[in-house]
Parts: sequence; C-alpha cells; structure tokens
Amino acid sequence: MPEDTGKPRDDNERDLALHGRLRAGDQAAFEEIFKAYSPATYGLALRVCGHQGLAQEVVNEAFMALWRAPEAFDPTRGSFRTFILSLAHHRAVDTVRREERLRKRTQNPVNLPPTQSEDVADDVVEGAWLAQRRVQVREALETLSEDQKEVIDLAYFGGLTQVQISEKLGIPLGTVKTRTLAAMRKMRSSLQEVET
Amino acid sequence: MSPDHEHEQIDELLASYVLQALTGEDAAEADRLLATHVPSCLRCRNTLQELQDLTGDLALIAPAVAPPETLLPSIRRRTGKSGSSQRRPFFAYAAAAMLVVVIGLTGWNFMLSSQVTSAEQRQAARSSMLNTLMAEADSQMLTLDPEAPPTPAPSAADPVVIVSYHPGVQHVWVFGMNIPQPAGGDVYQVWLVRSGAPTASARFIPGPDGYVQTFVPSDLAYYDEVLITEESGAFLTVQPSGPVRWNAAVTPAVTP
Repeated sequence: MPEDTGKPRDDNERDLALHGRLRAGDQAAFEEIFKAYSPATYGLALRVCGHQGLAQEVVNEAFMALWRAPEAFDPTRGSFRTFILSLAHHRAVDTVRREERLRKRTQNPVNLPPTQSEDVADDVVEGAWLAQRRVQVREALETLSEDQKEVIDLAYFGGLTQVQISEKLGIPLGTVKTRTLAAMRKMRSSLQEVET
Repeated sequence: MSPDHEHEQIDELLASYVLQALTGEDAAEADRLLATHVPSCLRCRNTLQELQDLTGDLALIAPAVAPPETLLPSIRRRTGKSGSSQRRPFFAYAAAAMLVVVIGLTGWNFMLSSQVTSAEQRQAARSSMLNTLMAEADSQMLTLDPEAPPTPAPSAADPVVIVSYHPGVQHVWVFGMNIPQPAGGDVYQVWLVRSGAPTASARFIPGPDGYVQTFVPSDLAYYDEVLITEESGAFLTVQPSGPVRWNAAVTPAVTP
C-alpha cells in the first residue's frame, strides 16, 4: 500500500483512466478532463493571447483536438498534464503569432479588448494536486534571476522567438540561448528536488 | 569541440526548441539534430523529455482562470457532431499526427522524407506543414485504410496513415505512426491515382519509432485515390508491383 505522505496524490493515474475511457469514446470522461484542465489551459491561453476571444478559441481547439485524436497522447512520453498543457501552449503561441502576422499585414492595430486581468484566478477551484504543482512551479520560478525570468516570460508567454528576444532586450543571441537553458535547468532542478 | 561543449550547444537548441522559439538556421539545426543525433543519444533524449515536461509545468505559472460557461456547451455541440460513435477516424488520426508534430517530435521524422533533404528544405517543409495543418481551416485530411484486416481491438500501437492536403494547392503531407518496417530492401511507395492511372509520388521508410512524414508536391483534389504499396528496389517504380498496404478514396470537395 502506498505510504500516506499527506500530500495530494498525483493526478496522472486518474488522468490515465480518463484517457482510457476517452479513447473508447466516453464523452463523460472528456468532460471530466475538460473540467480538470480547462482553468489551467484557459488561464494559460489568456496569458499568452491577452484576449478572451482568442483564449477561448485556443481552449476550444485544444480540447477538440483531444476529442478527435485521444491517441495522440502517448503515456510513455510523459504525463497527460504535460501533454494537454503543452498542446494548449502550442495552440496559443500559434494563435498569437497568427494575429501578429495579421496585424503586420494590415498595418492596423488589432482591435482587441484590453488584456484580461489576472486576478480572476481567485474564483477557480482546482484539483488539489494541480494546485500544489502550481505552487511548486511558481516557487521554482522564484529561484531564477530576474534576467532568467525575463527570457522565459518572453519566450513562453510572449511567444517571441530567440531572435526577437535578442532584439527586444538588446543582448546577443548567444546570451539569450545560454540564459534560456540555464533558466530551464534551474527550474527543472528545483522541481526535481520537491518531487523526490 | 569537446563532447561536453557540443552537448551544451545541443541542450541550448533543445531548450529553445521546446519553447517554439527557434527560427532560421537554428530551427534547421534543431531539426537536423532531432533527426540524426537525438534518437540515438540517451542523454539528449532524456534532456528533451525533461525540457518538454517543463514546458507543461511552465503553463502553471499563469493563473488558472475559469473559462466562460458557454465554452463547454460550445465544445459539447462540436463533439456531438463528431460524437464517439461517429467520430471519424480520419479526423482522429489526422489530429493525432498533428499533435505529434506540435509537441515537438516532428524532427525525428524528417530523416524519413525522401523529398526533403537539406536543413533549409526541412525548415521550409516544416513551416509549410504547420501552415497546412494548423492555419488553413479548409485543409482536408484523409485516413488511409489498411489492406490487412484490422486487429480485433483497436490499440494505440496500430499503424495509422493519414494524408493532409489543401484543394487547389500542390502539397500533400503523408503522416504515419506505428508503421512497421517493410521487408528487407523494400520501401513504401505513395501513389496518387486518377481514373485508374497511378502516379508514383513518393517513397519512404519509417523511422525506428515507426513515424513517417513525407511530402508530395501534388494537388490531391485532382486525384481520386491514394495508395501506398510496398515495393522492392531502390528506384521509384512506374507501376505498382508490390502489395497494397494502405489506400483511400479521395472525396471530392463540396463546392458551394
């Protein structure tokens, strides 16, 4: 019997069970997954896109992709959480870059409402494990220097390429690469410490 | 250059690769490494996995936000249209292939493409593919049916072949997952068929992980069937001579 550490249990076992049902076409399982991960994916999409409509589009498309192709998740390549959040992130970055291309093409500012405030997060009830992981990740982020946080923020949430980051910060491309790797290693190391 | 220094540079590329932050030569170099070095390097495979795991975690820095209450009903309507019992395999597998791409495994497949040889071409092809799959809402996708009888119970390990195309545009992507290696010396060959006349279009050999991604510079809407046969010999054959492994009829696009 697993030792009771008092910590919330990793959701991956539950996720794998839901995913198995989803593969069999179980819509109830799909909706359970949606309820578990839509606040995280929507929050992420909102942060990247800065626009509620685009964020809804991202979440909609990400979950529809999951519904249509649950086989795309391979449990041997990582957790379901990583899969669905990475999928949403990829969609969000793609969306924000598409909007940027459109804006440049039309030479007009995109007519978007102001960026969504982040304080709406307080009314979200997350699963205990995901909430705990969120705390761990934020603590890991705090171990980074401000310079390291900046490159991660620009790349991950800003959707900027390394070249764009280099230009924006006025630092050599090589420095961006080195700083990005150092930041990711440090975060990974911090998270591994709390995982053990 | 020492192996440690070389790996440090690879790590830098992989870190930005998983963040989708690479462009130009760096993106091409990452594709090359993912195709040639990473699959055979345990250290790099582990690094890539760890970095990909971290990109999932990074999402949690953003505050969770309850989506609008209208979102789930909206998705429900769409899932209802392609409900579980009616879920069309070609959508499923097309999206599956797409997801494989988007989570960063695409580079592994470029070594398989007989059409795409240089790093620059791979980069261009990758951009084209992403544009096709993700930006063009009217892209069509088609799942090829296996010639062999399906296994009694569908499994994640079953071979899947899909093609993605855009009517009116001369590009067809062929994706495969869990594709078995052809018999020794054989290759798979893609045929586009119009009015019973096959055109030899591409050849491929799956990667060690069974993934396939190859490009055919044709407009599939012009054809009425796609075939993949297993052929022997090193050269493109002009008529199918080996066994058909997968095939599908091309459904004409509905014009308004």
